[in-house]
Amino acid sequence: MTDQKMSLGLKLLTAAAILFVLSAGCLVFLYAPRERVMGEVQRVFYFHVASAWVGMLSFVVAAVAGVTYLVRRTRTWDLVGASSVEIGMVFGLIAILSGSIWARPAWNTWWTWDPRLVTTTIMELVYAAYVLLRQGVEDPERRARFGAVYAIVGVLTVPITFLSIRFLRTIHPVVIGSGDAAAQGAFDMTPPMLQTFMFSLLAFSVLYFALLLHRVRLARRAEAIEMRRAELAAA
Amino acid sequence: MIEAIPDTRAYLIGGYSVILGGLLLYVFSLIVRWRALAREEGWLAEIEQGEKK
Repeated sequence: MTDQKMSLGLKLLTAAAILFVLSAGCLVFLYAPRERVMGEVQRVFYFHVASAWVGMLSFVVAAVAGVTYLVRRTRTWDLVGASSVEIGMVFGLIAILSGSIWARPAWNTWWTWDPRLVTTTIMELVYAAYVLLRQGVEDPERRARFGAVYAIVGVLTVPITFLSIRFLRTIHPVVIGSGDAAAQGAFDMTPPMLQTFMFSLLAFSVLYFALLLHRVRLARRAEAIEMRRAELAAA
Repeated sequence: MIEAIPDTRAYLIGGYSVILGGLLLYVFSLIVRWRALAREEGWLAEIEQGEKK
C-alpha cells in the first residue's frame, strides 16, 4: 500500500511553492519597472528564464538520480529520475513557447534558427525520446537501468544548451554576464529587475521540488497498483 | 528625441497565458492521474474481496 495522505512536509512545501510563485508574480507586475525599449513584454523574461532554469535543473536531477540508482539499485531513484524528466519537459516546453512569444516583438519573428533555440529544442527532443523509449521497456529492472543510463548521457545537452549563447554567434541575450554584440533584446537589469529575477528563480526552484515530490508520490502509487495487479493475475 | 515605449501588452498576456496555463495544465494532469489511480485501487480491492469470498 502507498501513503495516500500527504505528509506535513509536502503540504508545507506545496504551500511555500504557491506562496513563492504568487509573490514572484507580484514582484514581476508591481515591483519590477517597465523596460524602456521592449515595453511590457520584457516582464515575460522573469518566468521564461525561471522555466528554462527549472527545465535544466530537472534534467541534472534526473542524471544524479540515474547515478544513484545504478550505485544503490533502489527503485525510488528510478522514479525520481523519470518524474524529474517529465517535469523538465513541461518547463522546457513552457520556456520555448514563452520565448517565442517574447521573440515576436523583440526579434520580429516567432522563431529563428539561433544556436540557443536549436540546442534547447534538441534537449527537449532528447528527453521526449527518453519518455517514449522508456515506456517501451517492459521489465521494470531493465527500464530503470535504461532510464538511468539515458539520463546520464542525455544531461550532456544541458551544458551545451547553457553555453551555446556564450560560445556561439547568437542573437539570444545572455542574462548573466556580458552578451554578444549581435544579441538583440538584451538589456541592463536595474536592481529591482535583478531582485525580481533572482526571486523568480528561487520561486520556480521551490515549485520544482514540490512538483517533483508530488510526481514521485504518484509514481509510487502507480507502481504499487501495478504490483497488486500482477499478484492478482498470478493468483 | 525620445522614442515612445512600444505597446507590447498583448505579447505579455500571451506569454503569461502560456506559462501559467502550462503549469496549471500539468498540475491538473497530476490530479487526474492521482484520481484515476484511486479508482483503480478501489476496483482492485473489490476484486481481492471477491476472491476471498
